[in-house]
Amino acid sequence: MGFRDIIKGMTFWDKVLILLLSGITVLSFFVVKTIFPQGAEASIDVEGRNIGSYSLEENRILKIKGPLGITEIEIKNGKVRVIKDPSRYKICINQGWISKSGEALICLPSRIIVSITGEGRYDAISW
Amino acid sequence: MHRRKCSDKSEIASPLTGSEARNDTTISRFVIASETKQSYSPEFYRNFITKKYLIGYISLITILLLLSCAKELPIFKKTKFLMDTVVTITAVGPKEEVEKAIDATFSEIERLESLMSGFREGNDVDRINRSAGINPVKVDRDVLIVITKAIEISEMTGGAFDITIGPLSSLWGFGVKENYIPARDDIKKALSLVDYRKLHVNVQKSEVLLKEKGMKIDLGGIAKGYAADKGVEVLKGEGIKAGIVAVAGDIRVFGKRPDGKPWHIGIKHPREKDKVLTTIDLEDSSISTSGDYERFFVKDGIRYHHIFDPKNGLPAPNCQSVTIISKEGILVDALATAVFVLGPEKGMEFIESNKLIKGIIVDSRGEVKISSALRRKVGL
Repeated sequence: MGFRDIIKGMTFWDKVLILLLSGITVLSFFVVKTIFPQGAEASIDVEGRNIGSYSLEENRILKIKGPLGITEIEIKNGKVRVIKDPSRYKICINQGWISKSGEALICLPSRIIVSITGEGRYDAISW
Repeated sequence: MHRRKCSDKSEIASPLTGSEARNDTTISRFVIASETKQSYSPEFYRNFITKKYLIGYISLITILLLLSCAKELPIFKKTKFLMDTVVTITAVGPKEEVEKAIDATFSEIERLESLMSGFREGNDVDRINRSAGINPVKVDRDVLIVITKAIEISEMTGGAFDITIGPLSSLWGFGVKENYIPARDDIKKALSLVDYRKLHVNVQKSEVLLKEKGMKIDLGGIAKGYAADKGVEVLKGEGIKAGIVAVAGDIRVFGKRPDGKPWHIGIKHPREKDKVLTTIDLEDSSISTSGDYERFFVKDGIRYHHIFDPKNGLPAPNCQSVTIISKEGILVDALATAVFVLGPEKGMEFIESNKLIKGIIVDSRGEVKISSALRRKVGL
């Protein structure tokens, strides 16, 4: 009994089932890739040195010591913002929340950069 | 492979062995559940579950898994504070090779910064400014290239871009003084010292001269784009096939993403902080955006920002942001500023008059104008 006999012995719905299952198998790879874009992370640099990446899925407040003092960074519901910074103009606090790959909060005087990494929507942003 | 198939066939045709018989219970349950009208012989289902199909199925899944994740080279990104801003280098390739290339690129950009920064005592820019009205100054080749190109762009744009803007930018002091609006007379005085035609370059001797005392060059509107160009040159020289050099918003890309697609670049929305205005796919080109949102303050309802009109010494009022796309970083950097100063109408006219330049202008009311060559490419 060969492959041909198997095909012959199948009903219409058997074939549908097989096609459906293989279709789902193939599709699921793409679906998983797009629905879960490999967990975006907030990557933090102090004075040009990367001190680590933190998942945006986990809500928390980070206290980062820079040359001017403590900068506080909040991660909440997939977004990041700076809530406290010792710099004069607080530009990075005014930037508000960021969440997309390629975006960054830049506290220039404090020498701290918080950038979003991970398989995101942009490779770079022109501003 | 073919021979094995044949032997499999003969096995299946042989009478039931003990282990195969055990499978029958599960198989028959399946039969009852899925099919009541037509009954199948146990052999039929054994055929289905025999090793050869199982192996086939597993290898299919494995191949799909490998296809979905293993084929791509990784993308590496590194960021550093340079040129009074943030420089991010992205490169595709094996880790060690890429890291070495990125480090070499950063040191090249560091070198350019030390040559062209307006805040380094004794560098080429500082010496040119101090020798204004006195004597020509011998400068580095890169400084010579940037200044020559700057004068060329000033001529192209009728002076809308002008690196002799120095006295004016120091007077306003964005980033140094706090919310300072200079007096009319002071602006007038500074303006009298702004004129690219009084900036002379002697290419043979590598010399630069500002003709009047008090004149000052400021490479802030052009050096970042040049740094992006040079950065890409270094990456390519190190054997990198694809990547991005982003000096703040002055971005040059080359090659393609590891997935074979062009680089996906967002353009910042001039008013909504957390948003991009649009995105654009780029290969082997440069993009730069000038906006009134970068450095600004609002006083008595008027927005004062850092892009000055060299004609009247005031912040250019008619655009919120201008994005220019072309081949060279140095060109797009300077032209974004120039078109911003020209304003939406004259600016778009300028963009359309040059085949090699594309652009997007957001005017002061927030209306978006896209140059004709770009309209199809932009996802707006």
